[in-house]
Amino acid sequence: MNTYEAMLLLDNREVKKGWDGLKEKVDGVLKKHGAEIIVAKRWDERKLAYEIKKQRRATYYLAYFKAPPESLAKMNFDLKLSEPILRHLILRVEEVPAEAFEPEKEFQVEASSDSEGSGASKVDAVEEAVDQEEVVVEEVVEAVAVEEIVAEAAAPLEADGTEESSSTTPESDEKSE
Amino acid sequence: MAYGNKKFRRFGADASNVKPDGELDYKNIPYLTSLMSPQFRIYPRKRTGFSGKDQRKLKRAIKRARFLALIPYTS
Repeated sequence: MNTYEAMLLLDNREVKKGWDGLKEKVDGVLKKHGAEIIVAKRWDERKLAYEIKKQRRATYYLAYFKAPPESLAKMNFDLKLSEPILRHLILRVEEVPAEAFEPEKEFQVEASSDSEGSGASKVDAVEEAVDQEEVVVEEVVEAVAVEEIVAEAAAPLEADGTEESSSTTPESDEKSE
Repeated sequence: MAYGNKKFRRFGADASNVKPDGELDYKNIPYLTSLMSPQFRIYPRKRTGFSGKDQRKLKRAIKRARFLALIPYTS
């Protein structure tokens, strides 16, 4: 018996139908192949970096379990066939991290979670805006990192002017939002 | 590579002393993205200052996070 960590991406349409039923169903797939679940909880409900099976958002389900190594291949196969699971990743872990035992947070499954075809142009626009926001934030992070490095290198003559201008503009953007 | 590039070196004179500031795990998304360009390319060792071992851990963690749509492959 090894300890494993499984991250499952669950379809929000199924989550909305009722969490308890879905949890039972998902745990059932694991248990069917001899898994003894140690802890299992919703890890997050977030926007996907890219669409998976036409879904833009998904619920992340994190489970730690013990299982015989031979059962993993069949379990993987079954998880792949399982409809509410968009994607999954099972990794072997030495021990279950302490934060896994913290109680589950509350999640609200958003109404705009499922994408009905490609006709929803408003949703697209909003999400594009969100994408841009994220990029801006990351640029700030990078600019700060570069500044630190430049300061350490103690020869910031050339870089200084450009770095400052690039770091001030995204910051002001952020404040206005 | 042992001496790295002076411009990007993170601490002191010996680049091999640089340790990750966080856990190199696929769930640690803010830290992983801090080690990537705005276009989500993984920074090279020259830029991260990591040892070969840590850089491989970083690579693995980022690729797992990409598979689970936590980080984009590109933008």
